[in-house]
Amino acid sequence: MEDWRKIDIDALDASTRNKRLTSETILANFINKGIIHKYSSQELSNLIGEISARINKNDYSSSILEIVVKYPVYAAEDSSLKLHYVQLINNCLVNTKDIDPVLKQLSDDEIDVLLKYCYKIMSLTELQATGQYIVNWVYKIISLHGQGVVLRYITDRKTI
Amino acid sequence: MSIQSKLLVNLKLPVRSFSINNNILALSQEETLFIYTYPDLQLITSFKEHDKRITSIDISKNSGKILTTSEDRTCVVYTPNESGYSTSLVVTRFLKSINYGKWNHKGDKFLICSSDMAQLGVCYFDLETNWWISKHIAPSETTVSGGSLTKGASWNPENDILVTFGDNFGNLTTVSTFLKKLDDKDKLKNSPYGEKFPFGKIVKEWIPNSNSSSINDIAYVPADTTKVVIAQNDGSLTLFDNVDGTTISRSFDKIFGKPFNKVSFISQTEFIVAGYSGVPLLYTIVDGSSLKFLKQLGKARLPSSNKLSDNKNNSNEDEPQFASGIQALKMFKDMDSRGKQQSYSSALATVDDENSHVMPITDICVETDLLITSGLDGKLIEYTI
Repeated sequence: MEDWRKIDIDALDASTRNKRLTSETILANFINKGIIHKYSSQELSNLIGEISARINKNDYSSSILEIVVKYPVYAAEDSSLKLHYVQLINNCLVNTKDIDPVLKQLSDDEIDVLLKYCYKIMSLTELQATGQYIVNWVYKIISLHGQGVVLRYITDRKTI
Repeated sequence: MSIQSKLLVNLKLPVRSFSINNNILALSQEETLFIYTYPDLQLITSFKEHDKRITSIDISKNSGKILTTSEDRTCVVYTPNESGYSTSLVVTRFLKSINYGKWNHKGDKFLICSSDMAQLGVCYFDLETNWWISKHIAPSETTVSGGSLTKGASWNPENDILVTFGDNFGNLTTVSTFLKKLDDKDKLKNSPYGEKFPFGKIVKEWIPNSNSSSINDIAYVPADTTKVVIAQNDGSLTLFDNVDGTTISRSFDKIFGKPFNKVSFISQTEFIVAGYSGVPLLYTIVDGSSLKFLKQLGKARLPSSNKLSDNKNNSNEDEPQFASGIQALKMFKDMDSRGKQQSYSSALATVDDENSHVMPITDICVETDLLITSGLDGKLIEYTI
């Protein structure tokens, strides 16, 4: 048998408890337990409207401090709206000139949330044109808080 | 304050687990178990009962029985007798690796954690059948879990009946292992965990910190058994209220920022943690409400995160730097064709390097005033607390 590596051994397992977990199951479990709030399109539109209004006033850092890190959008009804939200956050991050004062105002938990958004933005091909700014954010975060934040990002199953 | 650490044993293969009790030291090298006297380190005997890697070893304080668990899905109990040890195999009915085994304080039953079915195994010796029996306890059907129990499980020191265990999905479950033949009902009277405790009852189920990060180890706080200290894979230490399911205090190791493998209490409130940083740390619980870092035991190489923040100062401390690529090429050529060993490495290796772990700590043991740690680098190191 040539592709023995591709045998799904979990499928051969009779026990229902050894089922492989998918990210959908994990997310649904979090939502059922009330750990994650699933944003309705209306709620997310409100957040988007608030950030857009601030961007129109050339105010970028305040929405990071007051909205982005306070209301992490782990789950949303409309995934295209969520993508739009992430793009707005990218806009804020790229246009914030002075990073250090922003980072100093954030608590440890808020830094964790911000790093999740940074990695999410870096994973989207359409946002890679301004990637150097995001890399700079990540660099500053790690310089300030050490490698522990990256470890927490990797091990946390609440993902953006 | 001087930091005292001393190399105890240096072996070729990783030491994944060891145990010290009653002047006996048991450690494993892959599938072989070695039994030494302690502190003289005279080899008494060795066993090769398993055909795959031994994952954990525990010596019972009361009976002196040694328990080994292995990836070959079995456990072996070594009972001391006049001529040495007699072995008996425990068939566990688990179909995957047994990750961890732990005697209760009395020494008449033990728990096992397996990668199979997210179930806890409880084993005891049945006199009638003259055989070790393994019973399974499953968490509730609705619990979403990765199916694999981690090495974190702990007997409640107050009653020796309740067990708290964690899994790789961050679930913390407390169950009752009450057996009519072995256990005394009165021990559970006025327990803060409830009233009735039939075998297999799920007493509490939580997801600490709501992040589902794998739980590496759990220890009950001896001064107050409603609380547990949890080490999670995100590098956090949590003082957790196991009755109410609330996080009382959470702390991170700011120096290394790496996860801990083991938590062990040395007094009513003080405990030692060790893990991927290779350095044991001493913490204490202040007023039952917050975790406080006391001191670092032993020395460590500088974490690389420091390099990131000021890379000008210590760029050539950790590893040898070459002025040019030609120089490095020459070194490898010398090593390859002429068998010449690199000369600087022995000069750079100091006493501290010798007496500290270079790889993650896998297990810890406290023996009177001494702490002993084992590492994947095959070392056993002794520290004065």
